[in-house]
Amino acid sequence: MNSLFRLLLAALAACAVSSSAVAQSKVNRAPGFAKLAPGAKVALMPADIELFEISGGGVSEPRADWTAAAQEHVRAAYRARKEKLGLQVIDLEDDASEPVLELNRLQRAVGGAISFHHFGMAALPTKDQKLDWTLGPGVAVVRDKSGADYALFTYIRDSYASADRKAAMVVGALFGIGMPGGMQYGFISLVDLRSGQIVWANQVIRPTGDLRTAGPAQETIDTMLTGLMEQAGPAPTSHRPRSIKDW
Amino acid sequence: MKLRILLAALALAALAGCTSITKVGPGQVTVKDLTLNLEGPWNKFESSALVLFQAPGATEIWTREGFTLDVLAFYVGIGDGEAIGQSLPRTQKKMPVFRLKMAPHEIVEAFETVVTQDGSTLKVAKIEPMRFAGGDGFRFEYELKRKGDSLLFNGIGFATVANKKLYLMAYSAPRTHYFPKLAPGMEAAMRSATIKR
Amino acid sequence: MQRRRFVLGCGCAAVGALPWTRALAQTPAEWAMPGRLQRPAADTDEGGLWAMMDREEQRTRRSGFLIRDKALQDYVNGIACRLAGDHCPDIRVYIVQTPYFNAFMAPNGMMQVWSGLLVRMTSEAQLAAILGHEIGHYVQRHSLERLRDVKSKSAFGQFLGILLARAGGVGTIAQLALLAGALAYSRDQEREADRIGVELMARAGYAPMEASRVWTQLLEELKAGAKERDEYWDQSVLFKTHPPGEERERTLAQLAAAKGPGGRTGDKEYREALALHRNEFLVDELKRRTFAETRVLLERMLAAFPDDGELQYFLGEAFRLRAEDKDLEHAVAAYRKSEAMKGTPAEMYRSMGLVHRQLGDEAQAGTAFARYLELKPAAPDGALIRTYIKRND
Repeated sequence: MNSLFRLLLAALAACAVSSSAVAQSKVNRAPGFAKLAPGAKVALMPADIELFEISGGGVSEPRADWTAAAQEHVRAAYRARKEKLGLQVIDLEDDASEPVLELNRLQRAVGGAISFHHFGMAALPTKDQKLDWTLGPGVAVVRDKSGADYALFTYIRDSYASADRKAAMVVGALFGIGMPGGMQYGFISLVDLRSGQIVWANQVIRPTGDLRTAGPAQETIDTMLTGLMEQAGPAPTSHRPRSIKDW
Repeated sequence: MKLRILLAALALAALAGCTSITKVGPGQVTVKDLTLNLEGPWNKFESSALVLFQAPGATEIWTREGFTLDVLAFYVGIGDGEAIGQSLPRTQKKMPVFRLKMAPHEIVEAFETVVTQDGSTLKVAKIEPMRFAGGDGFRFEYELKRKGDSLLFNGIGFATVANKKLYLMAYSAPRTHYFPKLAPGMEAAMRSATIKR
Repeated sequence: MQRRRFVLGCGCAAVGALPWTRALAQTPAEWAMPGRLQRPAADTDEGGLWAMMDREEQRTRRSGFLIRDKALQDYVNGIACRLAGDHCPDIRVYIVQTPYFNAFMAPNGMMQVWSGLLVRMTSEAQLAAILGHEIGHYVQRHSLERLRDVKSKSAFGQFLGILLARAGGVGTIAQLALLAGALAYSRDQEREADRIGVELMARAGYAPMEASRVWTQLLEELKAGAKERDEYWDQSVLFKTHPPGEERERTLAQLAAAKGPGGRTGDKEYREALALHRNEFLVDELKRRTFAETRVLLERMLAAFPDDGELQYFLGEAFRLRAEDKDLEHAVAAYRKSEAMKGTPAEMYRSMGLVHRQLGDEAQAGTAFARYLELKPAAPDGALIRTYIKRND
């Protein structure tokens, strides 16, 4: 999926540069979804995050240390919004059971479709600019394990220019050569665990944002959650989710 | 490699122009000399320059939910001696060639070769004779495991040889939820197909 | 432990400074396995390498191409354990369904064995040779040595970028080609791993000569397939890190000779262990469409088990699917031969029918198709096969 996803992302990026006849949809909500109901429980799925460093020569190298730090900061950032969103962590990190694996694979493919066809320039005319996708009945496994009403999926790929790269960019600029620096790509989706419907989604593609430290990571998550938090109902007074990870 | 893929895709997208997707149906739609009667609307992908992983070299591809999910691939009007499908840039493999005397089993083997170039695996579950597009043809069912993300797909295909050419339609969608939901509509469309023989 | 402190204290050791590395230049019989490897601190270069491999392992565990058959896993694990001795608990074996010849062991203890390699081994000892070699790289920490060597040549950024750049999924040829290209072990390291591999084999009671035989067999395949082979895609990724060459075959033979005769090969045990998966692996092998190589593989397997009708059927398939020159005639001959053998699948008759049909022998085709239906009355493609027969009437 990663390579296919990246191919689509690239085509998407290319189209963003060139002209387009089709309007790009920025609708975040599925038809019929207004906001998170008060007291709704949201299962926070393990985030799919990877951070890269762009070397002087322009090659992206994965940085496991940055990725590990980012995972911590993202967890903390969500924790800070826990009350507002009714979040509970669901510990599926090491779950390699088929239903969970299959759900995650489908989720990535559906996310890719939304990213490319809904937020991107390759709109599907039959969707009529609506956010209308589902994960189907496979979400039952998450519902059963968490007792939650919704699940929140996070997918982030983030790259950062190394010092060498920055130097090369400066030199390039002198000669009128634009070189891409780091880019942040984030895709968040909220899934209704009864119907499997993706009720809310957001995509952020920008040259800024930093997940390597706590403060900027909070900013990144807040940016990606823009729209959802305003929609969220008041914080629940008390609730006892069936399974809650002690974070 | 991420960057390499990115650059390759950018080049392809540039060649293709921006991805242009148009609506087809409901009603009568033609793909070259194949005509279908659609009950609902579909999304047709215009550019053939962008090679998609599940249907390399198809005449045309359609989707309902998006190309990462379901794909209806048309291989239409392939003549005796012509290649079926297209090799992926990185494999450079010779593609199977259509021959008039190919049996349905062999046509399906060729189809499999085309769609599994990226390392995906395909298993034919069923293959049976069926009238298609006004003549003798066959229908086949298959399971596909996509290499890149291990996502499982179910697929159906219809094919016939008419006017000394091969006409093949294959539809695949994720086995969970999507295929069961979308396949019936797809079969109806395939059964509505006609070719002027 | 002594070694750990050394590593912590020295972020960028020069090549050769690691004290245990060249120990094996001495008499192999006296060589003692280094102690178990400890997880290094996260902020060291070794720690970084482990972390990257941990993520790779996580992806492997989630891959739909991972073969989760416990019996086969236990079997391969068992061999690795016997070879690795004290390191056994640190090794995790993953069997991946991909038809290319490859196996590798990552610095964090993850070992991958690809089905394309498993199908090519003709004895348990041969698999032990491969695993022993990889364990050699692991216990001597060649990856770390290589990383430091490359780093010191200031190609670090590009090296790492290529190292784990994701070509898309576990076990893809491109990904491993890149990985292999970047992390190519040096010639010295290869020789050392070969020496350790043979040593571990011998200690575990295997016949060391089987190690050389792996390369003899592989070279034979590659020579046969030279014209067909797509340079980049089909060539075994293993060769990017382990250049084969007759030199290697010879060296391994010499090492084995020095060990003397004896030791078990485990041909039958291996065949049994692989029995449930062999068909699937051979179907995958055919899909590589490198028929000259496949033919060499199948003929070798048949030489050991001449009455194996399934192997003979697959040999026919290799001819039928290539369908060049006299291939179709050879296919018929191969299928005919399989008729008298054991375990020939009913599908052989279907294939025979298809080939006769291609050759224009409609009557023979009809006979073959009819036989297929006789043997498999509930065949899912029965109705279609009947239309093939009706064509003649």
